[in-house]
Amino acid sequence: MRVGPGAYLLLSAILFAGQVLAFFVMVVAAAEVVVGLGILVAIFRKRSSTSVDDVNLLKG
Amino acid sequence: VTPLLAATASEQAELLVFVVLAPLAVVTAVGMVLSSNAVYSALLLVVNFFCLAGFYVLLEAQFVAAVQVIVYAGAIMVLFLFVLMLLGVESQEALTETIKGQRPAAVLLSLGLLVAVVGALAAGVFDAEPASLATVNEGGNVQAIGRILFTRYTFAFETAGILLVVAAVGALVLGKRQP
Repeated sequence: MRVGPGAYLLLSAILFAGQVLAFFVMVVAAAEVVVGLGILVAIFRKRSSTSVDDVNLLKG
Repeated sequence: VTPLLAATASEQAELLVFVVLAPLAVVTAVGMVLSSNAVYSALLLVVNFFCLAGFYVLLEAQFVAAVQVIVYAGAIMVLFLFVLMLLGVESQEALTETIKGQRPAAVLLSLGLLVAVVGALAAGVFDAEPASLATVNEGGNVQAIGRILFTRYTFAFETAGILLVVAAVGALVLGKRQP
């Protein structure tokens, strides 16, 4: 089945929304991992332990 | 799922691949959560990511499958393993609850998610036949994704670029040795 350019854009917008969403999820996950691991390395330098449960400086 | 005998050859092949990949994905996911060794967890997660890439291929999403392998299983997990090796592996489990009511809340939320997924399946949300995927994929999956990424989703794309730059600079600042 062949479709015109307008219908094609509409169709691809619907059908590729999921794939684009999956792509953006990966991008955000990459950013998260970089920052999270950076924080972990910083915590390890400070306390020589990676146990995040012991980090309670902000506890009121 | 269509009955095995009534399906065409390609559908049978698709089902076969799915039947192999799906249990492997579940087993590696559960093993990743249950493993007390962080390195084993990370490696099981890599296997799980490869299974996910296989699912994407089955769904005719070749670009996402390639990105899954190259970016997720490749770059992100290598970074993960690198940090794990750098900091050393501690395999003692934390059994004390630091946040009150953490476990009941986790069980409750998991059950809620299960109910939502089963409800969506029962209501037939995913029953729609993706008949026109082949039509749109005709000129190539990567081309189609690129076209939509730079027209409809330009703003999200540029925002993601900014996010990645900020994350990279943030990691640099966090990782810098304090003078």
